[in-house]
Amino acid sequence: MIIFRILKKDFLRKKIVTIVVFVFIMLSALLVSSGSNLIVELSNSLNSLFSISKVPHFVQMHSGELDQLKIDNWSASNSMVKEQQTVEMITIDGSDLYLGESQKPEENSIMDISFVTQNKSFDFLLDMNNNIINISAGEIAVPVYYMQQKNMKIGDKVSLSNKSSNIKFTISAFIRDAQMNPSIVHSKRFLVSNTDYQMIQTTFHEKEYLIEFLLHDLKMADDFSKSYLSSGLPGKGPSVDYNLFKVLNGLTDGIVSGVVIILSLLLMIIAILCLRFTILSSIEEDYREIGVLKAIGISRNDIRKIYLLKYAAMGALASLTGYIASLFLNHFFTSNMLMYIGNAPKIFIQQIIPMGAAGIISMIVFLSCVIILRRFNRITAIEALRSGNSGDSLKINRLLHLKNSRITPVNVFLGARDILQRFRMYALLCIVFFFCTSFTIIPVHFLNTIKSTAFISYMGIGRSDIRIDLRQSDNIAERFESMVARISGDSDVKRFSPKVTSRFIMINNEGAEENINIETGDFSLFPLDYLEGRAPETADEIALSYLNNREMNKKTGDKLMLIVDGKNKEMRICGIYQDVTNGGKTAKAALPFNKNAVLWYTVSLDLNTGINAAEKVREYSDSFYPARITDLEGYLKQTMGNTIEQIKKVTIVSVSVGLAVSVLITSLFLKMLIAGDSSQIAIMKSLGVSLHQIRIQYITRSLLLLTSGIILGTVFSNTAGQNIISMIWSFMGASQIRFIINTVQAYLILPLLLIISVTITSAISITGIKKSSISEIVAE
Amino acid sequence: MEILLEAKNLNKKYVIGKQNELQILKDINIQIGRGEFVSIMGPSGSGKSTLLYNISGMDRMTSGKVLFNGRELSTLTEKELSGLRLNKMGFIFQHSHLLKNLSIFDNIIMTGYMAKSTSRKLINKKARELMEKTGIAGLADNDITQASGGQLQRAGICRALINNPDIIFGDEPTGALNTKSAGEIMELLEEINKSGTSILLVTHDARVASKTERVLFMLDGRIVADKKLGKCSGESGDIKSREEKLTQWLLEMGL
Repeated sequence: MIIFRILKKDFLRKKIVTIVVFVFIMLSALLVSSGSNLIVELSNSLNSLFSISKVPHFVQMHSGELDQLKIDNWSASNSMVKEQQTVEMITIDGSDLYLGESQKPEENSIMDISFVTQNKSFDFLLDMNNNIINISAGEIAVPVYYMQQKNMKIGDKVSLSNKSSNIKFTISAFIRDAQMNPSIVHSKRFLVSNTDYQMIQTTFHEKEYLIEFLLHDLKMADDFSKSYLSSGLPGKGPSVDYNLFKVLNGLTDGIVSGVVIILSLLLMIIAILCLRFTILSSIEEDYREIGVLKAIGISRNDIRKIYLLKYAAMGALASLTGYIASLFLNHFFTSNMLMYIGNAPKIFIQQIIPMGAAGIISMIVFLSCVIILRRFNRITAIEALRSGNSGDSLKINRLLHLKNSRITPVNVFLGARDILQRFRMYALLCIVFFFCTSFTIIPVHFLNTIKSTAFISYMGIGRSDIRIDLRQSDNIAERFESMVARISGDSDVKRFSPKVTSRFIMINNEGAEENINIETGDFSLFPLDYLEGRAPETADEIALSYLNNREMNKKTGDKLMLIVDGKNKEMRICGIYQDVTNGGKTAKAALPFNKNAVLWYTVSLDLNTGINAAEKVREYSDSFYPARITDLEGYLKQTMGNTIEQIKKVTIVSVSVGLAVSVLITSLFLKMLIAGDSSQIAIMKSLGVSLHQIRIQYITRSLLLLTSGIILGTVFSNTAGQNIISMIWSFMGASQIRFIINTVQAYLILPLLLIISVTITSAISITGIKKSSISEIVAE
Repeated sequence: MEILLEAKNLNKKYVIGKQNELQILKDINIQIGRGEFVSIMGPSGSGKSTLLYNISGMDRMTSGKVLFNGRELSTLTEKELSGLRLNKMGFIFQHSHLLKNLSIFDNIIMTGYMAKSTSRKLINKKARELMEKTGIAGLADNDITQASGGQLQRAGICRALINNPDIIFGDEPTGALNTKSAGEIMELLEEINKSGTSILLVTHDARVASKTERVLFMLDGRIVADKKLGKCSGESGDIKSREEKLTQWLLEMGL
C-alpha cells in the first residue's frame, strides 16, 4: 500500500511526462500489433484466396497456334501433373474498351486486356466475397484494379466497340484474380458468360492462351517449369509459377506492413529513450531521498522495486491499451488488402501473434527499466547525502569557458556549452531529431524517386519519349517490319530503337537446358544505367538483369552457354542491370533474335523538339493497331500508380508522425529539463538575467540539437536510407536505387517544418521558467 | 544622507489554499541611505528574507511602494526589473548559489558579460582583481565542486560586485560558514561598504550585525525597532563593545 501511495504521488507530480511516455509505448504496441496483424492476415487471406480460387502452380502464356492434344498427351505422361487446363482468352485492344460512362476508350492503357469465361476445374475468378463468380448473359465481371482506379460500381456499363460491332455489358461483380490482381501485373481478365464469349469472338479474333497446370506437389514447381520449357510445347509468352503469384499479390501490403513495423520499432526506441530520461531525472531529483533511504537501511533492491513497479506497470498497461486500440484500427491498415485479396476466417494464431507482439513491447520496456535502474548500484548513501546530485555532467575543455568566448552572445554560448557538458542527457533529443528527420526524408526521397521519370531505368528500359509494345497477334513480324519502316520515315522522330524479345535456351549451372527471355537489338540508343559492366555490343555478349544474375550466381566476365540456331554459343556476361518488370528476370544481347520463339516487340523513340508527344501517341495508336503506344509518364503511372499511391500515404503518415514526435518529445524534454534546472534558473533570475535571455539559452539548445539531428538524419537518409530502400526493392529486381532528391522539399521545406514546429514548441514549453523563484529555492 | 532605497507601507500576503491568507510583511516603512551598511535581525519566520526579496524586486509585493533611486519598482516591467538587478544590485546568498555548470571564473564574469556595460576584456580584468582581493585567485578554472564553502561565498561576493552595484543584498551571507570564514567575509563586506556601496543584509548572528552601522529588528512581519550603531572603526575594542551592546539590546527585544 505504501508503494501504491508513492506511485500515485509520483504520477500526480509528473502527470504530463508519465502520460507522454505512456502514449509512446501505447502507440508502439498499437503499430506493432497492427503491423503483425497485417502480416498474419495477409498470409492467411492470400492462402485462403489461393485455395478457393485454386491458383495454378504453373502457367505458360501463349499466343499463336495451339495443339491441345499434344499438351494432353504430354501432361498424361508427366507424373508431376495433377490436372491441366488451357484457358482461352480473347485479347481486346484498349481502344475498343469503354469503361463506365467514359466516352474515351482505354487506348492509353498499358494493360493487356482479355475476355474469358469462368474456368471449370481450377483458376477460378472470385467476387468480392471470394465466391466463384457465375455470370449471366449481358453481364460482366471487371477486375478489382479498375474498381479502384476508375471508381466503378456494380451496375456500371462496360462496352466493347469497334467498327463492326458494339456490345454492352452491365457490371455484376468485381473480380479477385489471384493471377492478375496487382497493378504491377500488366494483364487483366474480364469475365463474361459463355454466350457473350461466343458472340465476342465473332468480331474480335485475337486470342491468347493460358496453359495451366496443377501439380501433385508444389515443391516440384521448379523442376516442372524446366521440364515444360524444354518439352517443345507452346511457349510464346512468359511463364509464371505459384510462388511469383504470391509475391506479386503480397507486395504492396507486405511493404506497408514492413513500414508499419519499422515505425513501431522507432516509436519503441523513442519510448525507451524517454523512459531512460524520465527515470534518470527522477533518480536525480530523488537523489538525496535515495541516500536517506539507503542510510536508514532500506536495501537497494527495495528502493529499485518502487521505480521498477511504476514503469513496468505503465509499460504493461500501455501495451495492453495499444493492443486493444489496434483491434479498432486494424481495418485502416488492411483495407487495401481486403479489397484485392479479401478476408479469410480468422484463425487462432491471428489473435495470438498481435497480442504477443504487444507483449514483447511490454517486455522490452521492462528489461530496459531493469538495465537503467542498475544505476542504483552506483549510488552510495554518503555521496547522495553530501552532494545531492549524481555529478553526471562531463568536464569541459578550457576552450569552452565563457571567458574565452570573445564574440558569441553569452546566452547562445551558455546554451551551446550546456549541450556539450550534459551531452549524455541531451543525446536523447538529438537521437529523436535524427530519427524524425530520417523518418520524414527517406519516404519523401523514395516517393520523388518512384514518381520521377528516371525510375524507368529500374524497369530495364532506357528513357525515351514514346514506347511501343507489340504483343503476339496475326502477322506480327510483318506488322513490326512495316511499323519500323514507317517510323524510320517519320520526320518527327529524332531517333528510335526497335527491339525484339524472344526465347532462347541456355545451359544452366547444373548442365540442364533452361529457357531464357532475351531482348535483342541495338542498346547504344536509349542506354540503361548498368549496375556493373555495360550494354552488349558484340554478338557474343549478354547482359543479365539483377535477379537473373543473382539466381544464376554469375558475375561480369563469366561465361553463359546459349543454344542459338541449334548450336552451342558461348556468351560473355558484359553487364548487369536493374529490372522490376517481367518478374525481374530478363536479359539483353546483340544477337539476331530467335524467329521461332518471339515473345514481343518494342520500339523506343524520341521525338524532335516541338513535336507533341500526346498527339504522336494518338497518331501511332491509330496507325499501328493493335500495338500499344504509351508515353514515358503514362507508362510509369500505369505500372507504378498503385504503388505510388500507397507510398504517398506512407509518406504523409511518416512526415506527420515525424513532426508529431519531434513536437511531443521537445515539449516533454524541455518541461523535464526546466523542472530539473529550476534552481539554476531561479539563481539566474535573481542575478538579473531576464526571462528573454534564459529563453534564448533553452531555444539555442533545442535548435542546435535539432540542427545536428537534421544534418545526421539527412546524411543517414541519403546513404543508409538509400541502401535500406534498395535492399527492400532488390527482391523485385532493383538493388541499387539512387534517390532522386527534391532539394526544395528535402532540404528546405522539411527542415523548415521541423525547425518551426520545434521552435514554437520550445517557446511554449519553457513558459515554466517564469515560475522558478529564488525565494522557493532558498526556502528549500 | 541621500536615500537609495525606500519602502512605503509595504505589505506581502500569500494565499494558502482557496481562502486562507498569510500576511508575512505588514506596513513596512524603511529607508536605506547611499553608502549605508544595514542589517536586519529577528526570529525565524519574522519576514526578514521576504522583506529582502520584496525590496530588491525579486518578489512582487501585495501592496505599498518600493523606490530605488527614485524609481518605483512596481511600475517596472519584468525586463526593466531584471536590468536593474543586473546593473545596480548585487546579491549574496547563504549558500553561494553559483551556477553548477560554470567554472568559478565564468560564474563571476557571466553577469558582467550580460550587462554589456564594458568590454569583455575589462570584465575579465576586474574579475581577476576581485578574486585576488578576496583570496581566491588560484581557483579561477575550478569547478564549483572543487572549492570550500568559504571560497564559494567569496566567489559569490565577486559575482555580486562585478557590475559595480549601488547596493548589495545579503541573505545570511555567513550563515553556512565557520567563525573564521564568517569573520573574513564580514571584513570584505566592510571594505566594500567603505568604497561607497550600500549593503543590506539579513542575519541571525549578533557578531555579524554588530559590524553594520544600523540594525533593524523584525517581529511578526513588522519592523519593531531600528538601532543605530554608527560606523565600526574596526579596532578590536570597538568591535567587542558593539557586540555587547547589541547582544544586550537583542535580549531586551526578546531574541
